[in-house]
Amino acid sequence: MTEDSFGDQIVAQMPYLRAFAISLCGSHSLADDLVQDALVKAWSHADSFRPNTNLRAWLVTILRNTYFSSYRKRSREVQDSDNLLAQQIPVKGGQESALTLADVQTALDKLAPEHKEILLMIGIAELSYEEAAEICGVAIGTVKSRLNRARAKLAEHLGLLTSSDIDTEPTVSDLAARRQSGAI
Amino acid sequence: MSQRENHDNDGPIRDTESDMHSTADGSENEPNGANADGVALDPKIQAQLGRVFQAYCEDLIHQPIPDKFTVLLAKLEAKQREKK
Repeated sequence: MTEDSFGDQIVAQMPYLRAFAISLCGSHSLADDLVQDALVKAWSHADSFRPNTNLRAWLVTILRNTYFSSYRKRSREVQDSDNLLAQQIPVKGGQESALTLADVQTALDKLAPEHKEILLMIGIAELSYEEAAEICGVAIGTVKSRLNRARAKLAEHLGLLTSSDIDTEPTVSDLAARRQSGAI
Repeated sequence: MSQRENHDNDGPIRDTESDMHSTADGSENEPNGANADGVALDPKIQAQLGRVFQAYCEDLIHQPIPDKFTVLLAKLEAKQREKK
């Protein structure tokens, strides 16, 4: 038997699935419960997976629906202290190395859920716009506009406005930040 | 090349593509300055954000998968084999 079993194929998707869950929940322990639930569901609905379609997109669909139906409320209550996100690990992002993974997670958690999930589907699960659109039940144009908003907001929450940026013309997020703080 | 698409049969075009969702006009038009936040970021900030977010994603993707998941999947697979 040379063909990968269904289980083997799922194992190959685990890094993406778990990363997506961690980011969505903002907590390792909650994410692991979520992944476990999603795997059991996936297995019991294995018949609904259409061969030759993207298994990762199918798994993300199950995980995402499980999250919104029974985890989202909990994720707002849980504060993990024993996980990587809580540690001050610098992001390897060049000059922005002062930022930590926890900073990025905090900024992500401030996004509207419908913006955050799109960003994670594209950025972490590496799904296509088409797949993200289908999972969320929206048009591709909506996926693109949510992605733009998510990026703009994330940059704003991360405070990606260096003094050299402010010397030049104010950017959209710059203005947005000022508007929010009541300066305009 | 006699095997061209059936353009010659001048029947109504009813290929399977018609069941692809129509996305052209289905976009969400959120009220209140739809473009206010949708405008492309300043390229410098965009690049910074790209690096930071990329690093975050890669870190998460490369985290080791706890053994309990491989154990769980093996159990699920074994259970299914029993059923057969």
